[in-house]
Amino acid sequence: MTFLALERVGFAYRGKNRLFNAVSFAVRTGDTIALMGPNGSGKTTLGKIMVGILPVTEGTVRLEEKAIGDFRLSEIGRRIGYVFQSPAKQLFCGTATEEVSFGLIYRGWTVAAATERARELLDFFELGHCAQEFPLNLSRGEQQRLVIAAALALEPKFLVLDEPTTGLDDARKRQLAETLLRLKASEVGYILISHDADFCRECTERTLFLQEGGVRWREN
Amino acid sequence: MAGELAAPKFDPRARLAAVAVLSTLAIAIKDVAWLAGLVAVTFLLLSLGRFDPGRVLPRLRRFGPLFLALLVVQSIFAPAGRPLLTVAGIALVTMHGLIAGISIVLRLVIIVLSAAFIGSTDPMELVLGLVKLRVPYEIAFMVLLAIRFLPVLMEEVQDALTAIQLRGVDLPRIPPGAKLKLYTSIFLPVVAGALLRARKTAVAMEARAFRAYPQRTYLDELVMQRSDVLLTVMSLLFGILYYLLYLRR
Repeated sequence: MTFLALERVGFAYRGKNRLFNAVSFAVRTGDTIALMGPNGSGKTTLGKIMVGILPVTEGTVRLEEKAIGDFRLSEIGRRIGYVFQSPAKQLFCGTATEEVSFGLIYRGWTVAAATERARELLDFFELGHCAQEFPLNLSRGEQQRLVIAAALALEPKFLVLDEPTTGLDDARKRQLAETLLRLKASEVGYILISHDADFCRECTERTLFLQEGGVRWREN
Repeated sequence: MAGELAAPKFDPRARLAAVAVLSTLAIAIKDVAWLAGLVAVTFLLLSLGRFDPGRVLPRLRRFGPLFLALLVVQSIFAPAGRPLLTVAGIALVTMHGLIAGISIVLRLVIIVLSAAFIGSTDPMELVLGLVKLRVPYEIAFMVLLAIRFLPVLMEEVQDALTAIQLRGVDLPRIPPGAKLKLYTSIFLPVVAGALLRARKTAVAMEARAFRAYPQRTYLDELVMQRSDVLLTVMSLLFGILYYLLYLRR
């Protein structure tokens, strides 16, 4: 079943600076896709369009067969986890634990259960030592792992990860690759926006190249 | 914001003088009719700068809820005169309270509009203008940083709100109490983030030898044109005349 579909999508910032024209592709639940392209080709913009943060200037985006504009951001967030290119941009809580448990508490979990789940995820991402730290004081790599943990806490059906390997050392990159492959095995799909060709090849089935305003596919 | 002013391109010192006069009058004058007159003069000043009303009015619209809240609070907490709205024998809104509320709103309108007149200045020119007015360069540069950081701070708040919603929180629909609690909880991290960024900026500035030498040289030199002198003199004369007329009313 098609989970997310872009139909002849075009986008231009402030009516000019056109990034792409008539981009069409469909994503099924469980698909693992790499989105690659040169700097400034619009990869991040396309990622934001896919989760409804940016409205398209042309064409339509459909989520589960409905126009994405018919969903509120919170409804999209319950279906798609989004990891910003700059992790600091989505950190807004006082501690790392609160950051991971935040969405769970608003979903009706008790504080104790959400904190316990947060602790598990923090330990998994080797962030247990900074559970009570102010997230913006963490290193870039720790922040990156923290936002991924916060996104995974909500158990989304699909993930859009913008440059998730930036700031990660080889060991952490390997750990992220293993996490993604586990998600893939449990039918959770994702789009990796990245310049890291080796990482993308390892973790995804197909690559979508964004170049000169259009897209082309390649099997990995 | 730059680019809103096509011509004439006033010197920042002339703009500062005009805005200082208008803001001072807005604070000194207490009469609603005179404040309304000042709003009209502010619009006239903006039209001199060839401001597009289509850009200025949305700016005011954004302050709409604040203006409304101030109007109501002032009406309730400055009770005097004829009651206009009475609930269970208690005068909630009185004529005097309403007038006090309108006065506050008009003052804010003048300040917001005149800020738009300053806001359209190239920030670097504003620094040069302040330096020419003998403001220490360090302070002037802090003004520049504040101007440049404000949109960044707004963007950070917006990003935090987007991130909150993407974690499943239906922000527009949660009860006001919960919303207030949520906004309060993100306020501290956003401010702390801004302070951390400020610290990094300070390090970056020092790494580029900020204040390494006691004397600075400037690539551009500001020169007051005839139109700038005219705007400055007219602003000062207008300020004195308007206030004298207001005192003798």
